[in-house]
Amino acid sequence: MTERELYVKCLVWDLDGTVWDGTLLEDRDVRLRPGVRDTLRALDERGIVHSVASHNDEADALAELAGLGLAEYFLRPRIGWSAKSVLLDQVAERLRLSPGALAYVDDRAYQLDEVRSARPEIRCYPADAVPRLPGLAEFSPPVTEAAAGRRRAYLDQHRREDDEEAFTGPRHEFLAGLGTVLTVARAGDADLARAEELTVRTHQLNTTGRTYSRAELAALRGSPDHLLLMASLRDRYGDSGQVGLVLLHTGPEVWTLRLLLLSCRVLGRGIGEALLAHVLRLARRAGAATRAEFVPNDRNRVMHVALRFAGFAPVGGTLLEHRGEPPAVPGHLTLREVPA
Amino acid sequence: MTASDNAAADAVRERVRAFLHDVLREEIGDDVDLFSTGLADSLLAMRLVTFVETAFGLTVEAEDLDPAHFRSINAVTDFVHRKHAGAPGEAR
Repeated sequence: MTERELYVKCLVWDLDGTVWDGTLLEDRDVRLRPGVRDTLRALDERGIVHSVASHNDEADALAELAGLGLAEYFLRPRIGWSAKSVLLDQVAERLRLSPGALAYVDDRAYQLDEVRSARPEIRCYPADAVPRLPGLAEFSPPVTEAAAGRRRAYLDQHRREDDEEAFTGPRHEFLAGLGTVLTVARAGDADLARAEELTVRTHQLNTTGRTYSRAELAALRGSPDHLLLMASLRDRYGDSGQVGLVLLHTGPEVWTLRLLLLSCRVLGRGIGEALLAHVLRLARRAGAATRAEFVPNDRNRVMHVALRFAGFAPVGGTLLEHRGEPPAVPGHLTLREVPA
Repeated sequence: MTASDNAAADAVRERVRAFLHDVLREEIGDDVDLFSTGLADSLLAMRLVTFVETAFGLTVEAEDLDPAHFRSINAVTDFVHRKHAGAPGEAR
């Protein structure tokens, strides 16, 4: 099992008896339960997104949500007849979240028990708890400017994924058509809140999993032998904002990548490769060798793969060292370096 | 390699080809370097590693994550053969 994350990233809702009173298949005329709309809105403003795991007819349920004016809140809903734990796994996969980042709310105790037993890392709440969820610590992450736009960023991502799925040509042609621009800049004071949030939120695309407080990041930003870089991403589907963080120790002979992390939303767009290529070029310009730390957790194997495939080879302990020529920045994206 | 080894290798190669064709949506030669030609990124590498584990019932250990094992259709085929033969993943 994966670990339960400190904060919930997505609240998944049962529908019958939880979002509305009654059963859609039998009653047809269902009423929104008290507190549902307020909780949806309150969590959405904090950057916690919503989804659905419901046993229902999919078309009917989606139509009902649209009729209630709530459809826009629910990302990648799963409506069908599989076990709730299976539907929740599918939600996690489609949102690229770890199950430990989900919470689930249902009016049926046996459904909550099924989820608790199959996926103990998913937090479970009875439907009666809906009005008080926004007051709980696990639903109260530090909020940054990025939070309010998170649902929009997911929706952009889903349009991109759906179009990629429907695209019939080679994958590299799809990527080339995205017009991806990756901007890399030294972190400024105004970026530190988002930088801290990234270290706390990001587990899968994270080379060391270390978290840093804003004060620690401020000190590293001002340190003469460190480089703290933020990466922002946009393409023709929208602006993904600040999605990556790089922390380098810049010694005279060796540069060491202490942390490379990316928001899980950007997986598959060549961003990790581009940032590694960029770091390797900077180090080469400075006449330094490049090392990278990799600390494995139960979810960050993809970053180990990224380092190995960029030419890093193990040299013992948690350290890898780059061998050979730096890889090229992937051809489908433009990397813009903002001068310090 | 015996004749049955060859047949097994052909079956593995065919499944790797089909997987890559599904993901990349284009025909790839068996010796084409997926990574130096820019066809693949780390997401694809990760999917390839996961595919090899589930399709051929083996575990890719941390020390097996050498890009040389996943560089081309033929490289993956050889890697699967060595793992099935019980040999360490490192090329000797």
